[in-house]
Formats: sequence, C-alpha cells, structure tokens
Amino acid sequence: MVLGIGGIGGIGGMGGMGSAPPPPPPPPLPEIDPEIDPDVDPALERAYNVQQQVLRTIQRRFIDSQHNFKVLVREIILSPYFRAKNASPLTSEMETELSTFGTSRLLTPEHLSRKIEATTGVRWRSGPGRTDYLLGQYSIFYGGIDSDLVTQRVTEPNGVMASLAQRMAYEVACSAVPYDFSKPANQRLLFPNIDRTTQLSDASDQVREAVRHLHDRLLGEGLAGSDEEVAATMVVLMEAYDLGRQGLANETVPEQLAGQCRLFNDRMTGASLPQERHINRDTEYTVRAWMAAVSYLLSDYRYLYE
Amino acid sequence: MDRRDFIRMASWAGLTCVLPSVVDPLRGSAQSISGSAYTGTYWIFMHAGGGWDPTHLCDPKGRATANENNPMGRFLRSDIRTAGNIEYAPLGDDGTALDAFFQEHYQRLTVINGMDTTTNGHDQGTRGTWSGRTAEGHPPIGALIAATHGPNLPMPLIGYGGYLDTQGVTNAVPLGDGGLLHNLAHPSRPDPTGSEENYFGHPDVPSIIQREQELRLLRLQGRQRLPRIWDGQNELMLARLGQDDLKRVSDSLPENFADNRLHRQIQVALAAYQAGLSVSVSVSAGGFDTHGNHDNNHLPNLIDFVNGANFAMQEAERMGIADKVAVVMGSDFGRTPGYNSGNGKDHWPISSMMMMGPGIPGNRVIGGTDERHGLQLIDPVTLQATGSPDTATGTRLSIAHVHRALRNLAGVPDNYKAAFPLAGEDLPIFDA
Repeated sequence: MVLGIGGIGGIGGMGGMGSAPPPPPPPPLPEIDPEIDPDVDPALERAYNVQQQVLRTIQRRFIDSQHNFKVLVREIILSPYFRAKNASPLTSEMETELSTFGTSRLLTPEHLSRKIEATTGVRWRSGPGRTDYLLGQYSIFYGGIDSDLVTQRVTEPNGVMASLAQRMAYEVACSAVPYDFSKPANQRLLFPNIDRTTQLSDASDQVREAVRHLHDRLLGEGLAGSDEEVAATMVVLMEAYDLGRQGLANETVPEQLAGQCRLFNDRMTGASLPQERHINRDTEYTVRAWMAAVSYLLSDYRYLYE
Repeated sequence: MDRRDFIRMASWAGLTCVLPSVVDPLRGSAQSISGSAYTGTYWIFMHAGGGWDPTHLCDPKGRATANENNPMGRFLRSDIRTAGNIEYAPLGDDGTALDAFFQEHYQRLTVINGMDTTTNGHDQGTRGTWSGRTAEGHPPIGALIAATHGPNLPMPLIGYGGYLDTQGVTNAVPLGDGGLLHNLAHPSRPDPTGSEENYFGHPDVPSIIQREQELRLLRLQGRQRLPRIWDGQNELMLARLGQDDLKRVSDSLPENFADNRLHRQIQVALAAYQAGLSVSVSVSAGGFDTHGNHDNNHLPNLIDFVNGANFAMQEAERMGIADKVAVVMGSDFGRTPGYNSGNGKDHWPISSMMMMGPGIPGNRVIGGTDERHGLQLIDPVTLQATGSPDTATGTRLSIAHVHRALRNLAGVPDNYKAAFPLAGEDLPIFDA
C-alpha cells in the first residue's frame, strides 16, 4: 500500500549516471488516481496519494536531471518522509498514516536462543550438552509451539513471558560475565576493553566506553559516550556497585559468586579451565555490578524485539 | 474494558501524565490493575483417558445375583449406592470408595447418562467429548470459554492433558506442577523455593535493574513516532505488569504440594485462578483403556479420578472459592456391556458425563440406559429416558446437546458458536 522510501531507487533505475549509452525508457509514472480498496482507511488513502505525489515529483526531477544520482539522493533526503524522525507529536490521523511503518516483532524462542549465543558467547541452558532452555522446557512458555498441543505462536508477550525474559537476563548475565572476563581480552565479546579488576567509577572514561560497547554489542545501538542511555546504564552499574561494596564492607554480601555464576569449567564445552581462568570470588563487587548492567540490557525491548 | 485496552487508552491520552499512575518506575514496582483479574467461574475439565466405564460409576448396573451369566459388573445391584437422586457404583473393598465424592457433592451434581458419543475411536471420542463434535476442527469447550472470558490473560487455558487442539482461539499453557511457577515468580533467585538469595548477592540490585528498565522503556516510547513500534513497547510494559501477577500465583500455591500428579496440577490451576489469571484448566488421567483385567486395572483408576474431583472441590473450599469452581468430568466413550474373554471391556459409544458448579443444577440425573447399558431416547423437555430407539419416541442425547448447553451456560458468544457450529437443538440441560 504505502511504499517505504527504499522503493524509490527503483523508479528511474540507477544505470543512467553516465552519458554514452542511451538510458532505457523510464517506467511509467505511478497512477495519478489509482484504484483503492474501499475498505482502506481514508487517512491511509490520503497518505498514499500524498506519497505518490512526492514520488512522482522526485521521479520527474531525477529524469529531468539526466538521471543524476546526486539529485535523487538529495530529493529523497529533503522529502518529508526522510525527515519524519523529527516530526511533531502524532495526531490520530498521522497514527493511521504511519501504522504500516516500522517493525516490532517479539523474537521467537528459537530466535532469542540464537541471539543469546551470538551476542554473549554463552547459551542459556543448565550446562554443556543440555538443551537450551528456550528450545526445551521454556519454549512453550515463551510463545513457542510444539506442533502437537500448541500450534499457535504467542506473538504478544504476557506476564509469564516477561518473567522468563527477566530470568533469562539474570541467568545469562551470571553465566556470560565471568566467562567473558576469564578470556584473553582479544577474545572477549562483552568486555574487550576492560578487566574485572578495573575499579568502577562514574568518572572513568574507560568504564563509560565499556558501557557504550555493551549497548553496541547487545542492542545494536551506536551511542556516543555522552548519550543519556549510556548514562542510564551507568546508573545501574554504579548503584549496584555501591550497594554491593557497602554490603561487602558490612559483610551482608558474600564475596563468593552465586554457585551458578562461578567459573571453573568452560561454559560451552564443559572442559576444565586452567586455574588462572577460574572466577569464584568477587571481592570488589565488579563482576556482579557488570552482571547487573548486562542483565539490564538483556531484558531490554531492543534485545527482545526486532 | 480489559487491562490492555485500559492502558492503551490511558497511554494514548497522554503518556507522560497518565501512564505513571499505572506504572511507577520510580517506586520500582508495577501496580496490578484489579479490574483485569478474572473472577468468574473457574472451569476444571477432567478427562479420563482411554474410555471410562460409567456402569461402574454414575450409571451403575452390576448383576442381579452372584451366579448371573455375563454380568455387567461384579457388584450386586442391591449394593448400588445412592446420594439423593443419584445412583453410583459400590467400588472399593467395602463398596464405599466413591462415597466421599457423591455424598459430599450430590447436591451440586448433574449426571448425564446415556449420551451417544457415536464413536469407538479414542481420538474421535476425546474430541467429541470436549468439543461437541467428533470430527476435527472444533476447539475444546475449555478453550472457547477461556477465549471468551480471558483473551488477554497470561494463562487463560491451562492445559495439562485431554483434548487441547484449540484451533487458535487461545493457547493451552502447560504450567508445570509448581516448580516452574516459582522460577518465574522469582526470576532473580537461583533457588526460588529455597534460599531468598539472588544472583547478585544483594537483595536490592534486581529492583535497581527493573526500575531502570521501566524508565528506559518510557524514554524509548517518548521518542518513538511509529505506532507499530510504540505498540510493541507498550506490549512489553503490559507484560511486565503481569510479572507481579505471577508472584500472586506463586504465593497462592500451598506450602506442601500433593503427592498425586493430578492433584498438584489442580492446585497450580486453582492458584492461577485465585490470582485472576486463568479461566479454565484441562487435566487428564490415564489407565482407562482396559481391554483386559478390567476390574483390577480400571476401577482403582476410576476411584482416583473421582477423588481428584473431590480434591479439587476440597482445595477450592480451603481457598474460599468453592462457589466459583465448576468441575466437568468425561471420557472418550464408555466400555462394552459385560466382560470379554480376558476379563476386559472394549469400546462402547454410550457414555456419561458428570458436572457441577455455578449454574449447574444439583441432585439431578439426565437421560438413562437400559440394564445392558443400551441407548435410550429422552424426552426433550423433561430429559428423562423414554425407552429404546426401537420402541420409544424422543431425542437421542448427543454430545453436541451437552456442549450446546455448556456453551450457553458459560456465555460463549454467537461468533464462536457460528464459527464452530454444533448439530442438534438446545435442550434444557441446565434448567433447574
């Protein structure tokens, strides 16, 4: 119905940038008054017609410029669609017009399971050789199907699924953070530029850069170090860090990691790790503070949806 | 208005000024919206897998004398027990094994005898008993009721067994028998039923994470201009509200679970109902397809099964929700009159159902069979047996009749009735 901007490039073709061979004839212009399904919302129809006008204008200018690609790019960038990001608050009519744009799909248990491994380097399961939770015991609860009793996927999360995602975030962080820190820096996925002995500080550029990297790694967000989202993750990290250190000082927090988080064996293969890679204690509370930050990101909308 | 619509409307009306009244991330907790909890009838559907023997239950036949050839059962007719207007078989060593159920509940119980399932096939019979039609394509009644009353609940239909092909009207959530629920209710604890220690070693760290999660979601929504993505973010926010509901389920679970699997499943389902999250549950017990050694194999299972229904009502009493709970019992079909050469009983299309709950009259028997468990027609007004189809006039009581009545009783709307039509006409099965 309403085309995305990505469709424009095909209108005039891109083969006419040179001058030697005659350009192929342009495809016909879009219908000025196309037939619209009568069930289509009038606001959507208006939006379609407006978009068609814009497309025709861009197409005409592109052709008139002897298929100058720079002109095409400039026209697209100057079009109201390209600049929609900075639009004013939506009216109800605009909501209808924009209702077909964008994607927001809750990842299936199969997708999420693969994403966990791809982004963190560990699998969410009880141990090597075991089935991933999201492919086994938790599959149905996370909206999966068994093609027997459950044949319809749940695409809208519920409380069970939200809790499962929360548990996943805690357990994957518990598994992945010590594991990643135990590797040589050049093999780390989560913490390539920082070590677990690095003291955490709000003022530390190194720590802020590590947080920025986590946003990039886990959420695909390329943020500046000064971005408010980096600052929010720093809040999680530093509040957890401060609480944990107070607890260590007054001996209400154990130095030992929770049993599931302790690292003696390779998370993926089960092979025994050399002594220097063992992580059992967290005397400065840095490992658990980073676990909190990673948990926060693993249960984020942008991690669970695509 | 359901919770989703409420929040959607409130949010669209002005995210920043309205939503914080529902979700207050600064306080680190999401408030549940009480109006969204389901408080109607809780439907427990109990399936006796394999085909039960009504002549040893609520349509008792037995034998006239100890020397009778080809008896229907090995108890004497004179020993058949009664509770009000309801007869039942004298099972167990002293013949009283079913007393606990019938004597306790007959005043709430409707027994439907002489119901023609029209099949001797397990799959067809199971589908028919729970959907009203032996052919494929109709959802179980528990799914229709769940879809009607709890389309946005996290676990409208809890499915442990029986017929669960929901045809997409809702999903059957297999909730496990308790341990999983605790895991989900307390996601930050490695051992949710043991230590209160969490993965971070400090009790307040998870609440920091959750507080910041909610704030971030609000920030993302505040920047978002595409309705589809905004809706997705809203879904996640709503789902997180449901996490507190799960804690309510977990908190409603008894300290000590029953040893019996069926009983445990009922305990979890009732806890889910008490938390307002579930409309129906389908449970199943097996061991009824006794082509050999029928009495020794079938009857203990029958006693356990009926006692399972008794347990459900006792638990509902304990939880103070007995007046909200409906129990419906059925099976694939019945079993042949008399015993085969292996002392077993084979498949027989005439069966019974038993049910009780809000809107279901008590102390009532509908339909009937002859002394060899043969079909009898019924008067469509009084619902009493009129005699054999060869000699009497009346209506052949079908599983579709029963389901038409169940759908009406449960308020299943016309669009579902039209989408999944049933044969026959409405009979006054639940008219007092």
